[in-house]
Amino acid sequence: MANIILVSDVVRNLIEKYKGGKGVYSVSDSVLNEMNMEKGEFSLFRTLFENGVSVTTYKDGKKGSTSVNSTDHAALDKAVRECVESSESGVYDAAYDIAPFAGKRSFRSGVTEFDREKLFARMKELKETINRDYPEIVISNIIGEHSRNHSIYRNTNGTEFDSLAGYYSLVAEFAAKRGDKVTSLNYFAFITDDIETPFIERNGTRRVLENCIKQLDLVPMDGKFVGTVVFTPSCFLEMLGSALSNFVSGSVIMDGTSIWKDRLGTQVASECLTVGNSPLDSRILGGQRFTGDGFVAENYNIIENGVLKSFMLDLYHANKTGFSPSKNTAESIIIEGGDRSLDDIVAGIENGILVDGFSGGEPSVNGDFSGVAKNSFLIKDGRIGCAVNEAMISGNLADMLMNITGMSKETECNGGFVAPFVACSGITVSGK
Amino acid sequence: MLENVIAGKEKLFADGTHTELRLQENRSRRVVLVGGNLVANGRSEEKGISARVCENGFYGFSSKAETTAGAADEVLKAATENARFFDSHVREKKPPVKTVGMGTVPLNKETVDTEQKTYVEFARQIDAYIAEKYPALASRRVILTTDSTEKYILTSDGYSGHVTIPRHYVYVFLTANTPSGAPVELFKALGGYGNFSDNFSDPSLCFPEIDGVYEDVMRKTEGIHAEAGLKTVVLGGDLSGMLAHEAVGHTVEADLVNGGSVAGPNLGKVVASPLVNMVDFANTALGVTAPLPVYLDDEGTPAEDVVLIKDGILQGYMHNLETARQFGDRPRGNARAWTYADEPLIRMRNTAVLPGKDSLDDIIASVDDGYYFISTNNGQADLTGEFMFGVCMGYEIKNGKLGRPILDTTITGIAFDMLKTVDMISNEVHWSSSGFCGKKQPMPVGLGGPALRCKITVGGR
Repeated sequence: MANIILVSDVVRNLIEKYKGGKGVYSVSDSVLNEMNMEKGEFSLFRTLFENGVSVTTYKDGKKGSTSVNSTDHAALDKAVRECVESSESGVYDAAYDIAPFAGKRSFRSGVTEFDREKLFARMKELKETINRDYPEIVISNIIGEHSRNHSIYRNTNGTEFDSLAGYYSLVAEFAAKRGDKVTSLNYFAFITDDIETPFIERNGTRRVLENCIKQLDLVPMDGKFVGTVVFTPSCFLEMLGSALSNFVSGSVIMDGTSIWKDRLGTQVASECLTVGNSPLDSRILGGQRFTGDGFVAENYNIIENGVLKSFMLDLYHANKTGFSPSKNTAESIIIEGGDRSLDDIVAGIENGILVDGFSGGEPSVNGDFSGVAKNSFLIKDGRIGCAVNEAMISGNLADMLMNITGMSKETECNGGFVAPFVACSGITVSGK
Repeated sequence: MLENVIAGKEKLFADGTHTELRLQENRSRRVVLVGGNLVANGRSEEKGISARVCENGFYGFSSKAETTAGAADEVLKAATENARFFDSHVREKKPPVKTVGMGTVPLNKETVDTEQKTYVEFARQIDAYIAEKYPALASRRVILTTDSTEKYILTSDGYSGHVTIPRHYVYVFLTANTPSGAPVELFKALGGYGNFSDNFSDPSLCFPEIDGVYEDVMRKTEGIHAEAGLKTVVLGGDLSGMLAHEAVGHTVEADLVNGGSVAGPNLGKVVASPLVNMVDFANTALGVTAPLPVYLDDEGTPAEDVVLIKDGILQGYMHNLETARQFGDRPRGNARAWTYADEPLIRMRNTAVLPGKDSLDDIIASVDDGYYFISTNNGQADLTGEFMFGVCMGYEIKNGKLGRPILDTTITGIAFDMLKTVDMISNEVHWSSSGFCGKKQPMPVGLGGPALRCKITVGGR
């Protein structure tokens, strides 16, 4: 195991030796233990011993970067030399910069010791519970892991962040099968620091398994209507992620292709929508504590009561566009629940569809989207009806956010996000 | 010499196990220019050693970010311990896996590194050409990206060898505004297998392709939304390649057959029109080197082609050693790992629909009312073979002639239903190789196909 403080010191000295100018660098040391089940049986147990060294220099206002996973002196020397050479071959840009001195801080989170017996037992218990309670579920694979990461981050203004974190995570992929009938692949995934509670008790887990079985009795979607789509929490986050990428990320603000580039401070979504980017929230596990530029991370709202409050900009894109850098550069989305139950929201929908997955083309830069509504159920006259396949939904992401008609009080949290079920009107639903 | 690190280590392999020891380096370089701004200019190298041990049917794996003889000893020990942990905790054991024999696969291609300033200069020349010639564009992005893998593989009872896959690409993304001010985008990837000099000797050789992207994106600004519903369409080679990979290829990976894929109950049955043939090529396709040739997989199996569909009948699955044992079949080199720290998974190599006898012109002329879909920007499918492809360039067809261009849309269907509607296949195959397939790990793959006339559901407005 490398001494990451000593390696960091070597990198600092090499940046000085090669006259790299301003820069940031980080050194990490990690261990990952991962247990795999295939066809519901334990199959593979992996242990990875990893190192990482990344260096970015801005010599004379020109950027270069390298990353390697070797910590011997020859590899470090080559990495820093090539980084500085890359800088020298780069393009001058006054917007390149690093954060001012932000002190020396230490961050600790999660559970850093791996308990091999407990992870094994929890995964075995999960498999046995699924087999007992949901016999029509065919487990494709379950991957449970624990990762421990210790890193030192520094910039040439003297900032130093020492970060140690450890978490368990799990992803399970499965389908339901009855005779020759088989459903689409479904999954659930989460991050946790709790290895004592059975995995099946995580919120959302049983819902996904139950809905998967209901998909065995699906009918092809027929016809076409414009109606209300109720997105499950994870599916809404997926749609929102595309909207954030297309409308508020650094590259689209910088190149001017965002349709929201002039919309700061104006209404871009229904008043009921507040989108927090909150890596420090206690429900977010392993969230960002500092940015790659060297700022200490803080929570902020991207959208507040429907009003666009902030773009998502790192220091470079902020300098290029004249805006302030965002208070973090993560995507730890928190959307608090509304005041109506999911049942209440569905009861008010005449024609709609509940959608748990979106398999679509990359939405256009203008927000137009169309794709397959996976794992979906028709909603008719206020009731959730039959499962359907070959259903497509199409619309525009910006319009969709303006047309939110309901947010459930039930929320789901997977350790990386918190979100409710969200209903959006005016979306085209079509079949064959 | 790196190979000396693992030379002779077979004496440490535990008796009665199948053991793999792999020393590997992945290199990537990336230059990104957005509107002329150099937003990324980086180089990355990741190397290390890993061991995988199969004992009583349980696999243990370990890797270390070092390329030393000592690291080889450590990962062999840790991998063996991991296999034995499962062995000691699970009652049911499995029979041993069987390799296809022992031997050595020679190096297929030397990888050559290139200085970063060469990449930066090349990308800037491409960007400068676009900026000067096409000032009406709303935005432009030029991305030069390379990745190469180099592996030394040593196995207890399979083949050993030294193999590489280098590849280099320049992506050009162009955005133009419609008359109403809405942006539309198109991209193209240039380049392929090999070192930088194999692909890019002179920036001006890329200019005609860039001109073509510009013409297409400007036509797209006049585009219309496609009409939703089941339509007669001509899928270009980009899309038939995507179909071969996403909608059929994944369902015939034996680990996904085990997961309940639609291919399970359909082996030996009619799944497509008798015109349809599909193959996962290993290293030579249709008489020439495949887009991303694979000569040896990471379990020590020399790579051979796998026939997936012959004359419309589902012929076989892609295997690793474990599923080959389970299904009573022979592995053909599909077990591939992305980095030294990854275990081999069943992956495609170069998956394609084989060409037919029709000309593209004749196929288009045969359609009274439909669409010709040319380019795709992504695709997904699931175990049922239900697929979704994004279409980012295409035209309507009216009375056998190309009409107005269409805006971005999505097409969907069930592979084994849709393939039965194929009634014309063009005589030319279009390959692509710039992307990654995602399945726990990324993996470079080639995909290709001719133009197909078929019925497919279009997701318009």
